[in-house]
Amino acid sequence: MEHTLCNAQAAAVEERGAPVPGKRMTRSISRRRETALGWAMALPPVIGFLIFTFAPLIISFVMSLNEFSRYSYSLADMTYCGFENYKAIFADPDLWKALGITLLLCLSIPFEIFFGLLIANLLRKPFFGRRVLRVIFFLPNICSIVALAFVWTYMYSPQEYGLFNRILALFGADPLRWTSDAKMFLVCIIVMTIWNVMGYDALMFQAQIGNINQSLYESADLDGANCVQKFFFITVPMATPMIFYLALIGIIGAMQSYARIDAMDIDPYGMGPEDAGLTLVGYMMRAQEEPLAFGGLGISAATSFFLGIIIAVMTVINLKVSKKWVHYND
Amino acid sequence: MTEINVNQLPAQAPADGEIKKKKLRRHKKLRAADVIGKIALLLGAIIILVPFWILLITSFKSPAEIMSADFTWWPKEFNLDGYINAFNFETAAITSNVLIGLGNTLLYTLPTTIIGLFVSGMSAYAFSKMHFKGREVLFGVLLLTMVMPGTVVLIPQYTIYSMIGWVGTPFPLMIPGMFGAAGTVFFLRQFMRGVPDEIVEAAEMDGLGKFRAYWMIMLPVCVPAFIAQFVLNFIGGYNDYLGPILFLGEGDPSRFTLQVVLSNMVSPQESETQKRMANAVVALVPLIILYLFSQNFIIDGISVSAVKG
Repeated sequence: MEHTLCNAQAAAVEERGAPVPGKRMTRSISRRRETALGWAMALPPVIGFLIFTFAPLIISFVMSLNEFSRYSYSLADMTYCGFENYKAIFADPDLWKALGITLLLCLSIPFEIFFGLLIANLLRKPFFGRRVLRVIFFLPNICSIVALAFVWTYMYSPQEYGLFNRILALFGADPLRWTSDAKMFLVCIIVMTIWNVMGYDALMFQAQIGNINQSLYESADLDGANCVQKFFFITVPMATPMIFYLALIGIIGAMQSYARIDAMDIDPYGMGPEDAGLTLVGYMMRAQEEPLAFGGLGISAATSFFLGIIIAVMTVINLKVSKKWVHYND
Repeated sequence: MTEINVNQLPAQAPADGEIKKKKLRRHKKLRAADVIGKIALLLGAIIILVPFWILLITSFKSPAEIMSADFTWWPKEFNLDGYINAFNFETAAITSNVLIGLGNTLLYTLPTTIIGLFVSGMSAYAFSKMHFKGREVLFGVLLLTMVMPGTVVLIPQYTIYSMIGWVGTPFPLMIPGMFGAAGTVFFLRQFMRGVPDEIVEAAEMDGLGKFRAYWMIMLPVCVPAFIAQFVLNFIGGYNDYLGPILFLGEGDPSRFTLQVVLSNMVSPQESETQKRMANAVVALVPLIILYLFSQNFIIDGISVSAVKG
């Protein structure tokens, strides 16, 4: 790291060239102007980040150390209480239940990645209709989750006319209650998520696979490898950076699951049948929305900070692990 | 291109009977695998499309037909009640209406997306084509944004916005986006680095300032990248769920975004299924049309970010 830095500096010095007397003044003025303009042009997104993300993050931590008078959303109405909020949430079995449910939702990720890689591999060679298939596979990704949840809720209908119950009926099985059944709720959400996300993973893998050196496949052909062998011994290892990347963003996304559960949950009270869909974000949201029942803003802020730390830790672990295991193309 | 050559190889190979036979057999086997692959792809595409088809046909089925025991893949008779309800403004005072929601969504999302894109592009230009002190530090700060998930800061954002009176107004959905987005900056920076420095330098030699070089030279060159980012950011804003629910959900229905309107329709009543479906169709159609027209830019845009990001 240090070496490259030194090199970069050396290169920069070289690029500027040795200072020429006389020209020095004008140069330094134009450099200073460029610096000022550069900052002015580059700065807005950084300022946006500082105001709308970084400052709230700090405030979130402060809020998590304070108790709020119920029904007040003002920072003026808080009183310092140390780590009481954290103690409260860690003592609450609901938080651990929410953490468990959130982690269970990550189960969709290996399936998304597997199907995504499979689709990308099948779409590797050009053929008639390839473009149309790419467009179709990516379609669920651009659609709003609430609109999609309407159809999925209907397909998961516990009545006998629900699509999934009709499929069961074809095999002579009794209808199930699907999303209305606390034990099945998460499975239903996971299946829908796989359907929703695999096209995105497929698209990312297609870009990655397009970069794999074709000579690898050619030499495998000469050695008489079949397509299954080529998939597992060339495509999968060469796609590891993407697998790790998709796993990471998948986990970060799953840790923040809320929208799809809120939209699929037809029970107006609670989070899914018997709170089977209570995620960490759900836990955070209900504390904010119903402060009397679930503890208010301090609890909410503590939960969000806890969630942030989990996500940060996962990001770091993923970066470390991927450095060790990832197979780089170049 | 190389794949075609591989396929042509057996034909051009020397006519040694033994090898030819072997190759032919392998060729046949490959074909079989190809066919299985195609069938799998087709099956996958059908699985993706079935829910969309069900959404569409159900929006035309009367509640009685929806709840009758036999499910059909085509409505027995076209019933437009769902759409009549969706376009009915009389109930708008209570739960709003998809068209009002659609209008609000466009009103909040378009200016934010356009301004945010312009600002992000400027920032990307500075990070890719200008040399100034502190550039790398600034970029490092921006990198942090990518690690920080938005959901984590929702609660303090809500508190701040409620203190300055923004809750119930569209400002929380508009103002932050106008500062540009880190993801967009990364993407555009990546694209601009691919543009040769000489082009920009030549423009500056001709007396254009840095800013005008961005505006007159870089922007036109990067149009595909800008379109990709515009569409992706617009779709993101269009489908934004948590923010609008939190910041607008309790307020005036005439300010609801499309997603808030839709989410208010979630209910266990199956007799409402047709209305829900019709509203969902109205919500999805603009998006799908936009997607079909810009799929080149979107798919290439995402692929590029996948390889280089």
